[in-house]
Amino acid sequence: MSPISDWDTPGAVFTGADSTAVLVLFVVLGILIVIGFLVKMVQHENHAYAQMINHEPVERGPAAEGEPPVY
Amino acid sequence: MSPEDTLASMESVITDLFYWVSIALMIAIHAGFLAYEVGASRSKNVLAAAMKNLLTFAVVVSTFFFFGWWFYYAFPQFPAGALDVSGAKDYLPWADISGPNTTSVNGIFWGAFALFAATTGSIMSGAVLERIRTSAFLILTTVLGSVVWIIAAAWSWHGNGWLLTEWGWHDFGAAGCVHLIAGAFTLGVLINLGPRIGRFVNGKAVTIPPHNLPLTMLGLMLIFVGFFGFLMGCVVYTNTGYFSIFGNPTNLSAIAFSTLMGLAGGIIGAYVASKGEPFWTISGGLAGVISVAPGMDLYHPALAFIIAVVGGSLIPHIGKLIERFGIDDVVGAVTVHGGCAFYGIVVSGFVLWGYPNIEGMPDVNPLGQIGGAIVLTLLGFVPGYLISLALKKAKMLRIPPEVELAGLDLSEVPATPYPEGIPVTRLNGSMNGTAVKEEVNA
Repeated sequence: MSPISDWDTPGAVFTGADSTAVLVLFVVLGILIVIGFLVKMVQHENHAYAQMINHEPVERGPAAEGEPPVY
Repeated sequence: MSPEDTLASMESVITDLFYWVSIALMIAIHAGFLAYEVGASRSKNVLAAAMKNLLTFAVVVSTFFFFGWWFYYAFPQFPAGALDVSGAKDYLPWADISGPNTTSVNGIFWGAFALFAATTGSIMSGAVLERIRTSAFLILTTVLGSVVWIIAAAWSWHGNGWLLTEWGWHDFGAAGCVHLIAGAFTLGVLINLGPRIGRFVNGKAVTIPPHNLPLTMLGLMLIFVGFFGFLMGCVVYTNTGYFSIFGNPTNLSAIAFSTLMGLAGGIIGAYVASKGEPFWTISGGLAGVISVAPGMDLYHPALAFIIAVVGGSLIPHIGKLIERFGIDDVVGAVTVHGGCAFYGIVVSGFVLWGYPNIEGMPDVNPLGQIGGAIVLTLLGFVPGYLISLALKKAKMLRIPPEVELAGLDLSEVPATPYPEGIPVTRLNGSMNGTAVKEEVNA
């Protein structure tokens, strides 16, 4: 993905610098990842809150040593 | 290489290094806010508070690259003048200078502004502790850090911002576009978010003490360190000297006088006004620096000290006033950042009255400063209120009461902050009583 063939010409040297379409794609993918992260967080929160309200463990597996009692 | 080329190369290197140091120091602000908020939380919420700070940094920095930086170059004259879409296109994330470029140091300026952006999110973070959904907070902080604050910066912290060109605005240390904007936005959010369970019982305020006040104090000391990076980033370095962002000559010497005297004055003022209460006293340092921020390139150090003493002495009273409205601002963010920024900007309008701006722009004047403070307050408050209201309507703003009572560290954070069980959150007598249960049931 090199936009340059030598170091003689000053200017942009980052990956995809010779193609706006590629750069726009990088940015759109980046934004989608942030949105996906937020969606995943909402799902995690909903699950964690529901489990707590139902007195069920949030995660499967044995309790960790030293886990404090329910508040 | 000619002497001119050598000089240009050195200018580029020193500019790069200057803001690189500024960025590194500003990260101490975030370390400080993290410690501050962890200490201010009860022991059942400490990891959730820390995670919220970490995620704020990650989300604001990334979204500030994706779309935030563009606003700074598009909005300086809008809506007083036209939107500068053609000038701003060079700062889109796919522009030639928005990445490694052998002839541009744009990234170092972007980095400094990204840290300012993240700071606005961290300011809000402490106020909403222990009851906001992290996801809702991150949506709000994205709007604040990557849209609202940077529009405010375009208007009030730019050599061609309309508040400067039309009204003669002066605000060296970003009191308006960072502190006032973040404080006003936070106030809008707090109104919709509501107080923590048990904070007001039968309409009467009940103090919920921090679980680790010493950590809170250490956090604020870290923020003080970070402030030197923040204020370093407020200076424009060139090969012909230092300038404020408004173009008037200044230097780091001026800022050293005002910052240190502001810190000292704010701490003393808050100590006296709060009768030695540690939380307000240490917050007084922050209040002092924010109070003198608008004119810290011009104030005499003794005057800066006096302005900071008054700013520090105001915060316990502003805090009590906010409390009377049933608003639970856990760390006093609205008070310290919003209140002192507004006070500092108003004072600067009178103290700096008649100072010239460059290139025939209006002189600094009280109406310009007061008008600008009102504009920025509205710019912060309105989106904070409306977006949090929408999240509230969608039932996405606040955690369920059962989870709030149990603590976020037992639900959404799969880890234990103090596995040996200390310290334990002490329950106030009133919080174990029926009043709390009635509040939950309501």
